[in-house]
Amino acid sequence: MNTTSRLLVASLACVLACGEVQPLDAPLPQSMVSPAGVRLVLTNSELQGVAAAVRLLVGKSHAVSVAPLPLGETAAIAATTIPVSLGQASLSVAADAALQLELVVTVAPHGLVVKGKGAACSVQWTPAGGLLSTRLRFGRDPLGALAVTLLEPPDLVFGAESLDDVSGCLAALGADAEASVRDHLRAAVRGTVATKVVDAARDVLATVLPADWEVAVAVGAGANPIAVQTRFIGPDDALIEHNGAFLQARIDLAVDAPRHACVLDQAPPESGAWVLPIQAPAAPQGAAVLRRSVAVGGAALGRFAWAIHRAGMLCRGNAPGLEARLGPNWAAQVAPAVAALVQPGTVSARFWPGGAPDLRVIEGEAGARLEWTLPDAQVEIAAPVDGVELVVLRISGTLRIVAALRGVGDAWSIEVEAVETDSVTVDSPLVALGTVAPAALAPLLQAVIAGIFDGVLALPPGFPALVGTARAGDGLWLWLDGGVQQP
Amino acid sequence: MLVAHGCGQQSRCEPGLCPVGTSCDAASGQCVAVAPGAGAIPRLSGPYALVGLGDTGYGVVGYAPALRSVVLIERDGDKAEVSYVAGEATEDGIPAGDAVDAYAAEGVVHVAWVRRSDDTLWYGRRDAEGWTREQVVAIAPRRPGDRLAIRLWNGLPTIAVDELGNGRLHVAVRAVDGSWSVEEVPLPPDVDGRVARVGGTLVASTFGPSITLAFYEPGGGDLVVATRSASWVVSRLVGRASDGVSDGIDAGRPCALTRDTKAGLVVAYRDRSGNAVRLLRSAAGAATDHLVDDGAYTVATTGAVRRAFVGTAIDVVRLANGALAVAWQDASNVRVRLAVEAPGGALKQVTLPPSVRAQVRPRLLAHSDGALRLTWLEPDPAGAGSRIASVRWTPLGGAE
Repeated sequence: MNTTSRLLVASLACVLACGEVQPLDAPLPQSMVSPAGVRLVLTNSELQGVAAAVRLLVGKSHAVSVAPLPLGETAAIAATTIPVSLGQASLSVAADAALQLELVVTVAPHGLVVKGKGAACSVQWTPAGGLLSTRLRFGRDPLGALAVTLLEPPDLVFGAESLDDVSGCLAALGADAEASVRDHLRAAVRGTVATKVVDAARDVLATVLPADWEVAVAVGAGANPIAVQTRFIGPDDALIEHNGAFLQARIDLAVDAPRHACVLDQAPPESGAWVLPIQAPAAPQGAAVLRRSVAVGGAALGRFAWAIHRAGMLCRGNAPGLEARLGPNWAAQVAPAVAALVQPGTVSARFWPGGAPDLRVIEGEAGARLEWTLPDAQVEIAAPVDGVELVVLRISGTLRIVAALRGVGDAWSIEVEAVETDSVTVDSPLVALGTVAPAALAPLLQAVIAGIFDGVLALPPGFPALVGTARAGDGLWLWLDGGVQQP
Repeated sequence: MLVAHGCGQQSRCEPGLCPVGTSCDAASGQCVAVAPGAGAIPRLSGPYALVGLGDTGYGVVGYAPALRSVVLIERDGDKAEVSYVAGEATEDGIPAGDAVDAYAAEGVVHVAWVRRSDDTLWYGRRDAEGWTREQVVAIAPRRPGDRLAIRLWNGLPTIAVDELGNGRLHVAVRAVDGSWSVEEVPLPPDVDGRVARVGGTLVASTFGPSITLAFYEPGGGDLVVATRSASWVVSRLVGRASDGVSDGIDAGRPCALTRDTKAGLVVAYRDRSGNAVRLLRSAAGAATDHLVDDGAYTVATTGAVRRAFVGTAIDVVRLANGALAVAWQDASNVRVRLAVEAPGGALKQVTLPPSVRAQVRPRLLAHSDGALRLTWLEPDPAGAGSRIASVRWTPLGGAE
């Protein structure tokens, strides 16, 4: 599995824990599938970004080598090099789900030398702008493998052109000479440019519509990896569709995990069909040439949260540097009785989820947020007491954790932004707490939960950068950079 | 309002800030007298040592914050006696520190402590003629750190101590003529080339002509063992940068040390990464590592298995019958736990008497009659020092 194929798996599984990726021993049962729970999306503007990326990859200017062209037995057009430039590019989705790429091709007026028995003479070729068009598709081959394939040979159509034969060189060579020269020049340009464009288009499309997003893998270290299975769905020759606002490829997502002992055995949440809103969310500002999007439906997210919980990935401890997050007076602000005993030093914490989480996507400032509601959870906070690390506070109840998924340079990070409590109890195994300041509890929990769960995700090198997030209905919309290296 | 001292007319006292001879009473908020002698048992704070005195007696040596003194609390049955080793409660009147360790053999108690007021290392000895105290001047100009251990090595009082500020490890030996010699333990750098230093705990054990020190090395997160017979041999036994077992974990903070019946090294340590208490047996260049407790418990209401913080304080001893006993801190429940090696070699947890009080810092002592003494501290909820408590365990009678 290459780098891009890990995208879907890692963007979900690595939200909380990464690890080794291994093939699944057997397909997951249909009951675990969230139908079309994930969509690979290219909005109309992103489609044009794909076209622009193809143009950039091919290069804007080309020197097309033209071989000598014999004209009759005594004359010939000399070998030459014609400067060609690629102009505006566009990509659209045809009614038959073909991806239609068009590029404007411009050839500068070019003088040609005609060599014969007598003195050489010249003609001037002045082609009007040409339009190169090609059609590709994203589908399955007869063996079921996904690929971007060329539907038909590319076509390059020139507009009106002129071949000025002022000195009558060509006219003297016969009636077909001018037509031969025109065909020779067009073929040279078409042959060179079209080949490069098609190769580039296949590369770019294979990157933004990666076949290897179809996976069946187990992700995570230890005995409780999360099984993730994805499959593009639709007719073999039309795995994409366009609704007027964006192209989308539908992906079935199935997740499962063996139950970790630290959690209860609970059935997965319901997973129905997901309707992606017709309009894409407003794209984030940025100078990216190429972007693409992944949208994950609310039900699929719920299933994923269930699997993460079931695999024990929420049963976590250790929060390096927690004491710095908490500040020196954290105990006094929450429970003065504890403050009388706690010494400065390393503070540790451990989080135990209770029931399976309810995960919702909510609007946040500059992007979406993931709201995890965790019933019957428990947080233990340990601190030095008389030189020994002891649990000094236990907070139990339902917690609502709001976290943001962000791109930080090339890395992805998860950041806990807020923690709210619902009917929590606070106690200490060390001392009778007496008064607990409820206003100080939320900041304390936020620091602790952030200390445990915040972090840069362990993604493979070359992983696409996360450009932004948004809420899409009840789902999560992730903008990614295109993953195409600039030439 | 600034409470500069323990008591003011308009304020409540603060633990640790009452005048010498008094302690802060949480209920009244006043500094109340703690009279030396007269049967009062001082409360302790910080590390303490547990030493055997006679067949069934024991002594606890620790720092009494209310007295700003190092004290020896001797217990035998219902009898208790307190003597003052160093600090304001003694004739010199200079506060002692809470860096202290002690060892007893043949009725003689050897105590090492650091006087933090001038960063000096001291040695005290109590025998039939009473107490003698002396400064270990040979350690100067180095300043002793907070980690120290005292044992008899080749019959001579020997103090291992780290150096304040840089964590270097030194061993001071008192010759028969009363002079001290000091040598630095050559600690090798870790795999990244960082200079090793002592952190966490420092413990010592002697056997025949050798002395072994074990400590946590914070740079590599390693449990390091240094043994000196003819020369020093230092090994990172467990940890992230170890050359031994269980590589990749943060191990050894804290740790405890003893010997098995075949003179093999036995180290009980906390695997902090894995949140577990483990027992490492090392002999003839081979090491085996055993899980003692991973803190797993079942939540009664749900059946889910959670894990308590365990091993934040640890001790290990070998009983008279050769069996090992390990005591450790259950930090989540603030209770001490005890396991004793069964005839088959497995460590079996011992049920201890229930208590409503918090229990901290377990220490173990093997009595010569085959019994085991487990002591711990019961912290005062107001932070005014801790009361010492103990149980005696025997193979037949259990804990009582």
